[in-house]
Amino acid sequence: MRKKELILIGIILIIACGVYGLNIYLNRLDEGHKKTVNIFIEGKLFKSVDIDTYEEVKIDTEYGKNIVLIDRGKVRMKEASCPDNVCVHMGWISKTIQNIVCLPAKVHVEIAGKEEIGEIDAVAK
Amino acid sequence: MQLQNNGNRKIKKTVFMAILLSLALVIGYVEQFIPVPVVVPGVKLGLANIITLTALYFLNFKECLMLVILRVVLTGFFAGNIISMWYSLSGGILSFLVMFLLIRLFKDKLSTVFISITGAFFHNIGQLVVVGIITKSFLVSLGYFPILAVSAVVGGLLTGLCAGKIINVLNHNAFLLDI
Amino acid sequence: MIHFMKCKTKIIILSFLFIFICSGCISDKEEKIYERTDYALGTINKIKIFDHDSKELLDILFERLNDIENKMSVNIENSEISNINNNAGDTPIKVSEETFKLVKKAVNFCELSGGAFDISLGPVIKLWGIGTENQRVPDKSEITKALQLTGYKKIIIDSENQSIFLKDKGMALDLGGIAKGHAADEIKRILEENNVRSAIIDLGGNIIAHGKKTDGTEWKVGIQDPYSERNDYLGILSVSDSTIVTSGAYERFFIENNVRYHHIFDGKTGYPCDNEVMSVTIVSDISEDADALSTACFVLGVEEGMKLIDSLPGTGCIFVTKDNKIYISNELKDKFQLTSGLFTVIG
Repeated sequence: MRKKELILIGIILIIACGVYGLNIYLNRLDEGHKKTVNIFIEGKLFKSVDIDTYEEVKIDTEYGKNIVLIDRGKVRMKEASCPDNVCVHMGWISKTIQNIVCLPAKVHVEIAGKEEIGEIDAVAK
Repeated sequence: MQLQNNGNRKIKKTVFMAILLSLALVIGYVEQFIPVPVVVPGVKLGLANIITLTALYFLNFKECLMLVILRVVLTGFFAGNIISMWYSLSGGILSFLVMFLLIRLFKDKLSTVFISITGAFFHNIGQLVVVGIITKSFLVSLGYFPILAVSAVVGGLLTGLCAGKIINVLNHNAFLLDI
Repeated sequence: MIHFMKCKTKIIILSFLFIFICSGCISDKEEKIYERTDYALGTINKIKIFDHDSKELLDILFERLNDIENKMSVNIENSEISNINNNAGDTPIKVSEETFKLVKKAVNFCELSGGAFDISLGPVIKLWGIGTENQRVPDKSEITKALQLTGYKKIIIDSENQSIFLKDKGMALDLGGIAKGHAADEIKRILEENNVRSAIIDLGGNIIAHGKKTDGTEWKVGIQDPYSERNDYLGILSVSDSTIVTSGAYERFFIENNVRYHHIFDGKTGYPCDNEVMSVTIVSDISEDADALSTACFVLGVEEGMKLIDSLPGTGCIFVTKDNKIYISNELKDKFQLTSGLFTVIG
């Protein structure tokens, strides 16, 4: 192998290392949440909200009144007009496998987005 | 006698190209079974560059281009994997163009190994461009780039040496003297 | 340079290329996950299909769920089950083959479990009203009265006429302990008919792990931690082509005077079952069985329940007791991985 070839190989390897470093940097940036909160009424999508924001979503239908609170990475049912408030008692959720359901009001809240590593596929309850 | 010579040349060329093409197809077929350090299905080593490179030393632009396209299309047809055909097409044409330019500009100043490594490098770039288009994410392509760059060096070295040997032998063979 | 190619050859090659370029434009099937969540059977259901891409299939599946609810729900006035109940002590009611088969199978489980699973507890369930606005603790006398109107042996099944008859007026069937299982089996049947080999279905907590994941690995199904929030799990089951059903005292209940009244009744006392069991999970390949058995085993308790499961091939169980112990049947031992340090696996 003569000089020219070695220089060429060296250049390619340097570019490869550079791109490798770039990848690591970019992946760190990509780590952000990127999850969305999807709110359904009677099975139909009512609103989608980025989970990283702060927002109160008010729902008022013939089935009941609900307030969904999204607070920087977590969601909960803040208020509900249903008698037992099971949905409110569910508390905060933040994983894609969790959801909040208010059966009387026919409202359910899901989190959609990149599945976390190691997450399971379902929970038997 | 001019006419007969031309006829001879034509036949020889046809035979030569046919041999190259068949060799390229066999290489393309065998190449499928060589594991590639990348999870993307259809990405290949680019060993058929041996043929492309050899052809570049004896045939003109149009003829080489046709060889590349034919070999890619037929290999894709036989392998049954349409997506990988696009990778090979993109990689094959890009590496062909780059190698053609290098030979045109620097013939004899650069060794076959040098040209082949460069060709392999651009072969992979061509493949990664298609990967990016298909996955709609150039981040994915960028992710695979480092390891493919290294394999380009290794693969290019190998194909360069092979092609060099073949060209050497062919140069001393009377068969191709008048092509 | 010699003009090498003739026009004809050029045309042939170009058309060849054209065909292949077109084929490249037909995109390879991306791995798309088709999922839908909707209400049926009185609860929320999620169907997630990994290797099939038709919206129509999801439509069919949810339609099937609604169809089953319309036939079997006690809360729907004209359902077949409501008809049977309304004509208790009066006339036998001819029902569809589907309902007939299910009731028959349910009664078999009643016998098999010695009444621990009993679909005739309708009057008791209605009396307590757990999960509704009317939930309350009834008087002893009310309970005794309701108990007199129960008893699976008083369900008369007529195979010739495909009819069901409840002997005494006031009796009522409630298929809540097996209907979801039946729905799950139906879903599985339809998936198989459509060559789906990778799907995960959650019918109100009853899980069907159909086939395997698209990468060939087994599904990972968590088991609800009875003391924690919904979807928090105490361990993971690695399964394929299985159904997982859990019956727990944490699902539907109300608390009065510091006592928890949950929805799984003991047919002998008329009260919510009060033994050492907090939850029991059944793993099987038939959902109807798993559903019925989960209720049965809950009422039977760990010892009797484990005996019952051991006698049934292809079925496994996991008991979680009130003192935080976990009992696993032999087949499931190497499929279960405990993840919560708050529990101990006994055996």
